[in-house]
Amino acid sequence: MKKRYLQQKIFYGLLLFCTLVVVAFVLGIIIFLIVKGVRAINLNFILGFPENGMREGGIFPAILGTLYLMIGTIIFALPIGIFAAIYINEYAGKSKITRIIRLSIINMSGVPSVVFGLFGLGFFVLFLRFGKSILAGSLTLALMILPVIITSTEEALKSVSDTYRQASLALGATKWQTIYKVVLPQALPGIITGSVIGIGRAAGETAPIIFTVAAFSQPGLPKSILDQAMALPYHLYVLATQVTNPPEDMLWGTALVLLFLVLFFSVIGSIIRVRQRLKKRELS
Amino acid sequence: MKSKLNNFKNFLITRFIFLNGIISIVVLTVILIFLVYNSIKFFSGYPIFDFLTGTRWSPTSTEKFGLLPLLAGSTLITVGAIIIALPLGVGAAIYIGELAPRAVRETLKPVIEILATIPSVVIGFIGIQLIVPLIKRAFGLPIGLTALAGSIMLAFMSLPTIISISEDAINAVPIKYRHASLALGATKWETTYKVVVPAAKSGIVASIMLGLGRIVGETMTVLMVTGNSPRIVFSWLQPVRTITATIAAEMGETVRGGLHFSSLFAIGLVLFIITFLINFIADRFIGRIRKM
Amino acid sequence: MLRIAKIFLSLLMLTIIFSFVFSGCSSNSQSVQTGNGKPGTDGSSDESSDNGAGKKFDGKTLVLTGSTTLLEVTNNWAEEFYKEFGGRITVNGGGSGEGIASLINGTTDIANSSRNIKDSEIKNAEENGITIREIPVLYDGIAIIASENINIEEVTLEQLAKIYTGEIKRWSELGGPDKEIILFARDTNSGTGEYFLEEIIQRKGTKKDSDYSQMTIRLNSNAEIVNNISDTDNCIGYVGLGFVKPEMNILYIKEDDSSQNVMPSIKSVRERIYPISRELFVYADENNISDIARGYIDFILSEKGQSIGAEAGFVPVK
Repeated sequence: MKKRYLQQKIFYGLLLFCTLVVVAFVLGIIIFLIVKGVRAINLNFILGFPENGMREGGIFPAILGTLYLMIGTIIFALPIGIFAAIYINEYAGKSKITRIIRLSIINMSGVPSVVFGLFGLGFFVLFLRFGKSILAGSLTLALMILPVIITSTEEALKSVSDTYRQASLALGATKWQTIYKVVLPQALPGIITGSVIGIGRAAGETAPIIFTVAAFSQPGLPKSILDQAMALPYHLYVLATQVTNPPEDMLWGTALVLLFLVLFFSVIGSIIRVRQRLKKRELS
Repeated sequence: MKSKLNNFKNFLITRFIFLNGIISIVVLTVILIFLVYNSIKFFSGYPIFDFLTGTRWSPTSTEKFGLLPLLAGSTLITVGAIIIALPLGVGAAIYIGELAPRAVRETLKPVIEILATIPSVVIGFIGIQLIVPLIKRAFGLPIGLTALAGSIMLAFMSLPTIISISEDAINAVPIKYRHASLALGATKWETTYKVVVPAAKSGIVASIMLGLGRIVGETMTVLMVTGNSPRIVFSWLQPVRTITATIAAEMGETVRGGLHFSSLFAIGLVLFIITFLINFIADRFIGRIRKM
Repeated sequence: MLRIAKIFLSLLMLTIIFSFVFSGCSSNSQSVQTGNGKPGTDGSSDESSDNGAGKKFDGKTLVLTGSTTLLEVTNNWAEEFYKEFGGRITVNGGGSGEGIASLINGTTDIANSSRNIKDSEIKNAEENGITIREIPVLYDGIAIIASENINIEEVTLEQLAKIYTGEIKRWSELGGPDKEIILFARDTNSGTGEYFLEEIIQRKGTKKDSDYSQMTIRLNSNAEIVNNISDTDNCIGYVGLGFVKPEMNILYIKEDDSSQNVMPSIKSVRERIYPISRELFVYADENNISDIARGYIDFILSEKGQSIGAEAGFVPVK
């Protein structure tokens, strides 16, 4: 009998250890980045231009480029993603095509980001002749985050009770009017959560933008969506591997800013989701 | 008249929504067409047999496009990563799902979600700064950029997927199974590993497959920490080069339309097929949880 | 729920406004360029727009694409050029071949190259109505360095090739300690790595089948090679002249057994005595060269441009 409980203790200890390793890794990364990166952060670092072969000055063009890409990505991905989810949840029913759509969404989210990069280069940059540009980069990233937006929107639509739909239809509204005026507003928080998480993911991706938009360096800023731009993740990659002897502060600072930007969006997304859950609990 | 117009409008809206609905199918198909089209161009200039069995990847001056060293690199790193991630991930999932008090659980989950959102280039950067020098010193190697460094970093990147899906599967095991086992006199641990884990097996397998997909497709981290030497080795303490890193490193350096250019689409196609299969298998197992 | 939507929308708006305001203000400082040089580094539009007079090439675009060997120094040139003359400059890597191809396709103004343009490329260019102008901009010498514990003075080019193909495996075969040679080389996408392969390992193209030994460890930059050789025994590697420090174990190079051994230096590279050295070029379209591109070429050939090149570890041509 005792042996069995001893065994239990040992294994519980092991399980706890596994969990602690994971937690330590996450906290370790974040603490390291903050402690080492915060020294580099000042106004000139955030709003200044790179100088002396990127070894001094700031990373403003990279931050701005990433913001442009985030905006561009969401402009393309959000409407398509929402309509796709509306189709799956409201129109398609349980047909064979829904099954195929679902399968391809799952597979699309499993396609490696570097393959999206290849595709973006082949299709947007070369075939459609957008060139290496913010437009091509945003479109590539938009495709990559589509599955996130479709799935979360679909979940949100599913959570809207059918009684609302029936009531609206009974009042003589068309199907589209019902969706537009009744269902979508109800599903809004869920949709927003998905988009916020999607934007965050787009902001941190490197592989899809290397061949579609990212410039090694760019004194001056992009003026149109057909210009190239610098981007934070690529800039970090360049600093860490392509520039000889970059100062430690620049490296850690850039990494910290990137992490902050990405985490900022995912935290907002989580907050919205938690509030939504609480509200539902109150209702039920 | 008005209703006719309305009908037409409805028709248009329905069509429009349908077009958006099938976007995922369209995108996947177009990606596949692009990969296949460029691969065919490549194989018309380079024999497919030499590609699949070649042991040298030396694309620029000798124009040798052997897949094997890259495949070996990807495999070595993936196996290493799974060896690390499997016990950690499943262990943590069991702890979070079965043992942790509610408050602990609610704090652990966001921490693991944060891990999922850290950009791969940041993980690679941390790898270069902390893990690579550590490996170099610990094993007395000439260089720390090794398959092991890649495996360690990728293991952690796959953990959020493994933990969250495994934990879902463990939660999905009906509570009455546990009650029955405990009532029969089993200890809590015996219940966990003899009843709950077997019942959640297909979910756990699915989580590992999905984690595997993430590992195989990861690019920036391996590009930064694995040393990028295209060669066939069987030790984790050697530098290797993966399929993904090859695409990312070389695509920017080739002349568009050339043989080297299209060769990268060919290895992209190989990568696409591998991840497609992995996700397909994972989907099968996920389907089984739903039926439970 | 509406509140959440509002929060989100205002956030999005904020992001958009932020980026436009800041890009706006920075573009102000760019188009109404400053006299004192820093392009809106302060992030304040007022200060820079007060400075009034525009720079010579404001609003003109200039795209520079090509050789990774020249990437860092091109970036330095672009930064300095921008400070003095303004313009909208984008620097891309891509390798020498991609640079020249972009020039032929008209997607870049200037191609950076670490090799001479090929006849086939000139023909292609002519078919596209482009007359190539070749401008040598710098010399690049490649030094062979070894670990501290290696007591060898010199290697011949043939020995060097055999070391890198793996035919010579131990230092003792060259009169050194009885240890296995650890090989460091640059990554497959490095121009230096390519040059070394073609010039040394393939003996200037006469042994087309030779390649780096499977055991070669590939590194991403000159700095990584220097760092790794300094703290590991039994290694050999090659780096650009600019990364060589006097305290390193630099090997003399002999063309063959009968010739004089040469140490890499600015002098020996410029006089073309040192055997592992090459010219670096920029290429432009002779007939269709923009003012800003011409200005840029003049700049990199000026004393200032050349000294930037020297700082980056190359040997000036002037």
